[in-house]
Amino acid sequence: VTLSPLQQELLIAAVKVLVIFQVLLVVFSLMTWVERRVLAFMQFRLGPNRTGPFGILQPLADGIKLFFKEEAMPEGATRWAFVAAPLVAVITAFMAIAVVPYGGSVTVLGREISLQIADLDVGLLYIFAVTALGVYGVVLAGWAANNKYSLMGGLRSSAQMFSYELALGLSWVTVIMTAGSFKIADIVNHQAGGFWNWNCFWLAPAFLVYCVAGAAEVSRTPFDLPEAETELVAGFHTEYSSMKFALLQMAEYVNMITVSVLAVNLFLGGWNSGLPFLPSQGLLGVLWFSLKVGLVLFVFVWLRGTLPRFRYDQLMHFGWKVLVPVAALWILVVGGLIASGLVDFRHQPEPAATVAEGAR
Amino acid sequence: MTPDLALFYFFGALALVAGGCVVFQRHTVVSAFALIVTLGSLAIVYGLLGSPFIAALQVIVYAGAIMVLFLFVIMLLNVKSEDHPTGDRRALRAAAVEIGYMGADETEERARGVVELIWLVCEPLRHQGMYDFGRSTLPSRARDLGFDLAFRRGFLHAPPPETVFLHRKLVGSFLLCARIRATVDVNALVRPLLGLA
Repeated sequence: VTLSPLQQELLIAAVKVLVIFQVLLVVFSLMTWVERRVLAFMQFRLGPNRTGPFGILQPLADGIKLFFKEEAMPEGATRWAFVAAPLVAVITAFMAIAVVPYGGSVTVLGREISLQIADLDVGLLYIFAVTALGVYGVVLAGWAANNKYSLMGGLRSSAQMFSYELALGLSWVTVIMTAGSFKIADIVNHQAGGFWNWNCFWLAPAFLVYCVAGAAEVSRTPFDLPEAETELVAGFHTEYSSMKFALLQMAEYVNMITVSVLAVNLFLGGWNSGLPFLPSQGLLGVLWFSLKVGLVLFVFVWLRGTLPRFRYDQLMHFGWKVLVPVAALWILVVGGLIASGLVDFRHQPEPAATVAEGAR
Repeated sequence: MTPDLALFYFFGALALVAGGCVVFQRHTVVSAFALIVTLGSLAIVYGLLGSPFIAALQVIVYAGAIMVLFLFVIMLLNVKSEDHPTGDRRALRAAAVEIGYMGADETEERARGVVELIWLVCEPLRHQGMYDFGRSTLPSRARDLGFDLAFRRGFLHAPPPETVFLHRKLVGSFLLCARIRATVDVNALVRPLLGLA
């Protein structure tokens, strides 16, 4: 059977989408187990250890339980919105990951395949747009349930999300300025060569702002106010149960994975090994990439085991009066350095262009 | 038709339909969501026309930031749907509370139901010209609404004792008129009594 070029492209894209989707599902369910286990060790407990070896089948058991649980919907709920909210949350969460590269390229059957679903010219802007839409899942969920705790939780979460989105977006600007491209693959290629070229060193203030804003964006400790159970029960998903709850949970974890993946791609050299003698072509690059993402995800859990929660007013003050000014100031500084020519942020002579063209 | 053109027509139409919903929907939150759909479809149209940058900005700025703010304010102020009760219904509601058909602190949904039920059973009085009792479906409609009010919305407030027999008199006269297939211009009979002649 011979396929036309368009059919080949479509087939490759479909396979990539399916693989990424499955990988995300597996990482999501593993993450719930890792999180509970690691957190337990940090607190001198054991955590789930009964289901399968080391309790690794716990996510499976949880999944089965959630599938067979009764669906409850509050009497006064707005039905369409109550059903739509988890879908909006989970769809936008998965959409964001579509433009993220997880490796350079591999050659299969004499054909070069880039390890990325879609390489958009406006890749970073696309991610920003899609995550901005993710807020609607939270807003809808909080509003539709017709419960005051849900509404308060939804309002709080959405206020938090769009306050920190600003700092998050500003922290990307210097990365885009130095790489000269919105394409994530270009940004990764810009950091090639060695770990001393990584943006987390060259653009350290932006990296710090990104880490803080990223944690806040996905409502992780110390910014997990939506889950401040003493004040809000369970925040915007108070009234959700069974699979709808599982979808909201999945959206949160996938968002967390997206933030980690972006941290790796924008600041930690992406699929580059960081050491010149270790090759980072093809599947080896995917290995480095996965290790780095795993490390960032671990840091998320570590933070949760370490830090207390912010108070709501502290959260807002910190976001608007510290993070946003710092990020904006850093943009001015980098802009000044580039314009004056004092610091050369291009590590190699035009590396991005050559590698990107080669990948086509 | 190329796929691009088909998508263009689809999202163009979606933008128009959602735009219509923004104007004609009575529920504020639904209106806001329809506006989001319009803005999103426009973004896709921009993308199809070959400017992904404008498309991304459209989503980030309008759908992502401005509309979230809109929704935020709508929810914070708890703006209800637009069908405000007319003067008659507001007066009915006040009277119903005064008589003791319901408490003044009854939930909005139940209070509306009670007013709706009173409005319904006054149908023969409002009807202009001859009211055909024999052909009226009023009893079954009133029963459905009453059941809905009691069993779905949980309105189980007993009317004050001095009005209970009044109900029976009224219902009895209605059923009697229905049995003898009476057609009566009730409105004309009642108007002088209310000083409206």
